[in-house]
Amino acid sequence: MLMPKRVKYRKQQRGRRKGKAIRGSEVNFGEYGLKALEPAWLTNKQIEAARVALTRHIKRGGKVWIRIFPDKPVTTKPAETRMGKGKGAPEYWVAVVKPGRILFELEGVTPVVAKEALNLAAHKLPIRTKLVTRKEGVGG
Amino acid sequence: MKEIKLEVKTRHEVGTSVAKRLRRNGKIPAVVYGAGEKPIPLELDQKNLLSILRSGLGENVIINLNIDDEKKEKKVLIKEIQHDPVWGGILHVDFQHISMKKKIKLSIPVHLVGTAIGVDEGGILQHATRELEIECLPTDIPEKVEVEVSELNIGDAIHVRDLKLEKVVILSDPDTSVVSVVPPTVFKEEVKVVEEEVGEPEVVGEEAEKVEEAKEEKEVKAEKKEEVKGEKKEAKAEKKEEKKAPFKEGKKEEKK
Repeated sequence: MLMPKRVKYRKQQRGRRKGKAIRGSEVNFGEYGLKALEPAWLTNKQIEAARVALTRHIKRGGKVWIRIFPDKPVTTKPAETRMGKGKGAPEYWVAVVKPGRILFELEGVTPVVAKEALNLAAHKLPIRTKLVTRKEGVGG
Repeated sequence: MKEIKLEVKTRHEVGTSVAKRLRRNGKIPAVVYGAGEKPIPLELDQKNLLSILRSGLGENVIINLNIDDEKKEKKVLIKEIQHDPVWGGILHVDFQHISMKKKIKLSIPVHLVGTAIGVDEGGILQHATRELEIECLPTDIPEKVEVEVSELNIGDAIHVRDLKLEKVVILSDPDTSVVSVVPPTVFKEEVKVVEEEVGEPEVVGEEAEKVEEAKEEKEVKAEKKEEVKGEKKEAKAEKKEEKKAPFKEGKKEEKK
């Protein structure tokens, strides 16, 4: 599963998810993309599940790009623990996603297969998404 | 090179709220600038701009900008279009005033023509460079670059150096691949026997020292605990032996 190889600090503050994605909001590598319409913390498990669904559907041929990386550690306190005694232990990794962010990109498949594959991947994610193509973006 | 006329108005107010109000009314904020000129804020109808963009002439079309119904028109190129990241609508347009006698730098789209032989054999066509940076006179701007790919086998590629354009200097790196046909990627089903728990990543920097110190402290505490436990156990064992010993000796004596 995706996670950083080395980090400077083990634990991070939670931060905020205001606004829209400025970077990574256009299809840059492939022909089709999956765009997030809501803000979320996507865990490495969810990203992996979506990736597996995507690659299993296209089976042979095609190229997949994962445009997000879970580089934020999330900590949790053990069950039945009283408050205090410091921050909990790092439990899993998330990618901070803002609306407009391209999550996955696809190339080398037909539009029908791309639509089906990205639809399957979207069902593994906890947010609303939409399929975008490289030609889109001009006009409203 | 085709030229298109576009009517715009000077925008006297600037700022976020003004821009938002314009967009609500179906207009787009814009700006025009050029070498040695002061930038002029503009506003234009979204419909007029969309008709130009959807005309099929591409973004590299010379526009005769008619500002406030003046007789003198400015020849401009679309320098940048800002889109909303979520719904994709146009937020702002930059026009660059150009001189028809000076060379300009711009990027033009690369279009692929035909179906590669390698694709029929199962390969994947990778379109790596979709825009080419060029330098030319405004009158010589090509609409697009067409690249013939029908003769590409698996493993073949077309580079920027292979492209030849008339009256145009290509600025992109000649060794960059434009299009290539790569062997198909077969996604193997991952067989997971036992899911190994991935440990924490390596910590680097000041935090690493703190973590190490904390670990050492823990180890020292653990050692001390073990020592204390060991001593207690020994003491208990000795006490037991002392208690048991007199009985054993007494029993033996009785047997005798």
